[in-house]
Amino acid sequence: LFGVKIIGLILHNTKLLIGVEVSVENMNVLDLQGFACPMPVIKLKKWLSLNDLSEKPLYLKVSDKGALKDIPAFCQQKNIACQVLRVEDVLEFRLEAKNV
Amino acid sequence: MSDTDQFSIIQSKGTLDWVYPSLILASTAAAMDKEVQVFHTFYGLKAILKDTSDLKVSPVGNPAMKIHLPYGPEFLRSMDLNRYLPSFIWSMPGMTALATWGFKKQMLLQGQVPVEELRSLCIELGVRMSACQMSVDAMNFTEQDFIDEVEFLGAASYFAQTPDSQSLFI
Repeated sequence: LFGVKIIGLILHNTKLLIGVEVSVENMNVLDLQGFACPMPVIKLKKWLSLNDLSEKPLYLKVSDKGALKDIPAFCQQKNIACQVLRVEDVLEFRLEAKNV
Repeated sequence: MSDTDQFSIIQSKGTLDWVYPSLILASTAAAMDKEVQVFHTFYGLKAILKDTSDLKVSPVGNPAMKIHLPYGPEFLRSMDLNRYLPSFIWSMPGMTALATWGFKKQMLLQGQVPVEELRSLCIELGVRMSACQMSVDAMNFTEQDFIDEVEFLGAASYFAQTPDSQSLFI
């Protein structure tokens, strides 16, 4: 039974991994884990000045809790579409240029 | 440019616990596309010196400061030392250095960057750092003591440059 559980767990994790990888494939990834306010917003701004969001959406990972409100607020200011993908220990966002 | 696009802080204190918050706010405001100016007056001038070793923090006269050991067993780390130790302890030689060390460590563990780095980030983001000329003279500083990006102004030019957007950092 334990073995089955282990295999199940491995399969589940692989699925998760593949799932994440597939969804990340066409996105740029920016990992800002470990940075506290104000660094996530500043690093994101820097990234945006070097990269073009309209080419590829951005997959953003942040561990700072305040970012849950700060990143969407920043995106609103910058007119960027921001989607919160996951709210756990690590916050995950999908940022995309707005089609206007 | 309308007032809402401007943000400015009057920095009049020169200890680490006063410098961090204004730099954090200034850098964030700049990232949010505001035109930011920090006006340094009196002891706030210490925040824009080339040599940042004068930026310290002390629990003396600072009862709200929380002091936690950055390392050690959980029960020790969770204890607020400023609350449990008599305040004369913090006036003993070396205690300011210890508190400063602990404060910096705590900040880094929290995912914060060193204050010098935060300052250069602010400048990179376009935050204008200005120094009150009168204070510079009164405190016996010379213009060479300050980082290159500092503008030397009088209070009148500061008010002229930042209409309706000043906040005194107290």
